[in-house]
Amino acid sequence: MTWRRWLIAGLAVFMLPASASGVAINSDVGLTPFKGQWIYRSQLRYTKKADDPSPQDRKFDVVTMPQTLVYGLTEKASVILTIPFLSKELDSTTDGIRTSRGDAGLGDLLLLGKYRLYAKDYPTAASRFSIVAGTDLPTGQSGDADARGKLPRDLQLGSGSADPLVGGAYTWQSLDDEWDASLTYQFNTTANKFEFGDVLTYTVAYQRRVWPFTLPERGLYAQWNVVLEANGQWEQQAQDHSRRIDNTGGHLLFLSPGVQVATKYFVAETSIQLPVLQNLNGNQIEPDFVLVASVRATF
Amino acid sequence: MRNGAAIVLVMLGLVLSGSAPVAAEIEGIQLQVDGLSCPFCALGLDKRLKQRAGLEGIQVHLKQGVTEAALPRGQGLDVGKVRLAVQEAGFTLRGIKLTVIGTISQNGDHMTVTSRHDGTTFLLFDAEHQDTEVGPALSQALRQQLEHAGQTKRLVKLRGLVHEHVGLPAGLMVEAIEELFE
Repeated sequence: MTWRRWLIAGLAVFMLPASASGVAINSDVGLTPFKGQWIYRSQLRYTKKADDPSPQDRKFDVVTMPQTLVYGLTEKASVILTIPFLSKELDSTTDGIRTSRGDAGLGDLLLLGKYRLYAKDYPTAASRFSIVAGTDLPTGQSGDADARGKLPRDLQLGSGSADPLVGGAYTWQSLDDEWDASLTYQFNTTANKFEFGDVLTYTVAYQRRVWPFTLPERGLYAQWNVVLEANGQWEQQAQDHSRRIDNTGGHLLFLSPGVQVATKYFVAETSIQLPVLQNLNGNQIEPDFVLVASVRATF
Repeated sequence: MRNGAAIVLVMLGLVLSGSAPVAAEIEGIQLQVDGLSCPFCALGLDKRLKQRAGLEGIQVHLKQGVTEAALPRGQGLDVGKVRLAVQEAGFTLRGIKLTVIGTISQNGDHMTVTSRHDGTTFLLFDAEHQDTEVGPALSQALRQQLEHAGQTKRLVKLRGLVHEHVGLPAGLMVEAIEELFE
């Protein structure tokens, strides 16, 4: 019963890359924007979960559209605001009757600060490490209902609680390729006597320029990259009235190939996240895939 | 430190002489910027160099790690502002290469080239004699060439690498010199 939580946890880390001047698709990076820079990122993420071990044969479709705005206070410090729009639909069978329930609207805002702790520059290459901290805010509805009554927690748009998050990310970037690694931890708090488990996310990403094959001697150019990421998340079991809930928490690892084009003013990219490790507690629906499309522009 | 004393004399000479530069231009500015490694990162350099350092005509050459820029007519080059602009863009300025067209002055033990329009003055050093702690700032040959240009008040075109001095005019490590007959 933790699809919603997986979504929120995933969303937290998936929003982070928007802070970057450089680019991994589903991972945070150590790069930070320049002083006075604005970056806007719009994402579309479609998550399909249909691998249900229970007789309910649940199928869960989630579309998220995080809209992220980043501002560079200095070349080291930046602020990041993400406004997610969500649409969820759950089909399940109970007593032989197939039903569909869902909700759509604004989710929990995510407000982060990022600070570059380490920077080393080389001719046409950079090494960076940054830390990030912030919280999501309970702006999404957590008590929505339909004709059949209050929606289950997984279908609610918000968690109902403010959940702080800390993390760090490292990036090595050159004209040819880029390595990124990040780690974040979200401390989930209690709302209405329910507490989702804390979430640890970790990512390693590699991207390689494939076009232009040979760089022009002068000027800028549009650059095509292929990207391969490992995106993992581990979640504690949730607690209801201080009692652990069996069908919650676990460990997921996605392998995420993608392709991207980067220019001076925008980056466009797409990726598919495929689960390679699914070690979920109890009877939970396992994700089939996550499709990602994203555009970011700077001004 | 012999060179330090020479620089102080230069400053004193500049103040006392009130040496009015005759004519100068700064052109062909090339910034060697480290850390620039993706097209999406280049906009910051463009913006900060314009806003902070007042440069124009910014062209980033990613493969070379070099950014070309120009000065608006009548505006001097503030090396400190250029360095700050690059820093605010998130990168490191490794060096500035430029060409100065101007006149040569002798100030104490040192030679300078100064801009007419904006008063930008560079202390001159010889690219062949970078270890100025123990040796002369200029080789004998370059010194003679500069002295001749100074005496005849002819314009010279100097190309070289700029370096900063705390509290003093920037230095120009002369790599090429050409006398202009006009």
